[in-house]
Amino acid sequence: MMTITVKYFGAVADSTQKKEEVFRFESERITLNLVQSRLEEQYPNLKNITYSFAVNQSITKEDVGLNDNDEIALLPPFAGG
Amino acid sequence: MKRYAQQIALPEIGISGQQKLSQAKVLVIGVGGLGCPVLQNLAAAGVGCIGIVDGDVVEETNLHRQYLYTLQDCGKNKVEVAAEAVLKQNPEVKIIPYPNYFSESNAAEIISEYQVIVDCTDDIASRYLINDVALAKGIPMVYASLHAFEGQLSVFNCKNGPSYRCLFPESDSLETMQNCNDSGVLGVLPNLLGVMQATEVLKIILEIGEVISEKIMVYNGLNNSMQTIGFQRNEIEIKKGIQHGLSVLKAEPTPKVGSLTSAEFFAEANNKNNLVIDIRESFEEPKLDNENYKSVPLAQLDDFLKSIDRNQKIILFCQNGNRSQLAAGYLQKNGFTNLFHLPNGIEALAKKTL
Repeated sequence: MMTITVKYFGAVADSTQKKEEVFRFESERITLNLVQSRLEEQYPNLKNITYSFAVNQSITKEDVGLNDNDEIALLPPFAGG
Repeated sequence: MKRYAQQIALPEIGISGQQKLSQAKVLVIGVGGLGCPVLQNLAAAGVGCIGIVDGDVVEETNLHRQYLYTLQDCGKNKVEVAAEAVLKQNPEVKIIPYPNYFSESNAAEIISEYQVIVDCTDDIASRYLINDVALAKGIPMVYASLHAFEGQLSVFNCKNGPSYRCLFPESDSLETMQNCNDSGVLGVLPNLLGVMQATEVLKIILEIGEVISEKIMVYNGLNNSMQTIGFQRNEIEIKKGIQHGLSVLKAEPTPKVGSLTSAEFFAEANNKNNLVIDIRESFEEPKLDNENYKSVPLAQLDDFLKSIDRNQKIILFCQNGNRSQLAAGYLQKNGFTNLFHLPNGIEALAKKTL
């Protein structure tokens, strides 16, 4: 069992209606893409938002493997000024 | 210097730091929610020269967060009102207002003299443009942006650090994103973020502390959380930005070839600082009665100019103006910037004066 914390910012948080949640996965081998699929299934509007992924406070463009208790963030660019 | 005594007293700043500030040139793009506090704080700290770019006018709905403006200013250009208000607070600084929106067509001209750009715009397209020209020019971009109660802060392109594109690669769907006008904003948020941007600018100029490069800070005003997320250079994104930036910077209008009247021609031809070239063949008459010119037939011009500075003022003339026009156009394409010719050539001159 793997526990992954996901944090939401800006327009992403507007779509999820929460700032943070915890996901549990049965498999021990999960990747970022797998988490993304699960998120998009749960929040279909995410497909319409541009955002970057961070794993443990570091932006990643790759489909990295995740470890138990990793923290993921979905960070969209903000526009306002 | 008296007004800066309390910051000069800081050992990290001192007299030499204050001098760095007074010699600094900073460009603030956008004087709205972020730009007002950035401008106020940089000017108060004694940043010597501040350019401000904005094509917008003051509206009543700005007043809850843009404290440089009053009800009486509504309808006036933001940059003009802002410049006046800031100079009242500190007459020792120089404010250069640009009453237009920052765009691909004016970017090269506007950014030429500045060492730091502060991004206080409210749309994503402008941020890519600012990032790319800053990247191509090799100067840092101090970024902040807002979404409701949240704010982002980072410095891009600082000492070969990553750029905005490394954090947020460009996507087609970005254009559908809201700006703050649509999604609402509490006045304290841009003021807080603007003060943070000004802090980064001062650190960059003073070369003190740690600039927020290679990371982005995300602040949430509702729960006081501050999250810092790291990111790195992505060479593909950097290349994309530099290419776009260079294309924008090079798109500056090419200087025109100047046409000289007879009187102007004689004045210029006698000026020893000018390079005056007769591009006719050696047999062509009449010769010009002047010591200060070189005879370089058109076919040899290319070779002759290889060692000449591209900014040298060059006066070209021929028999009737056709070849000199042709040659000037050719030199212009090859980077010469200060070109003049005699439109009707030596024949017209001869009729009048010889």
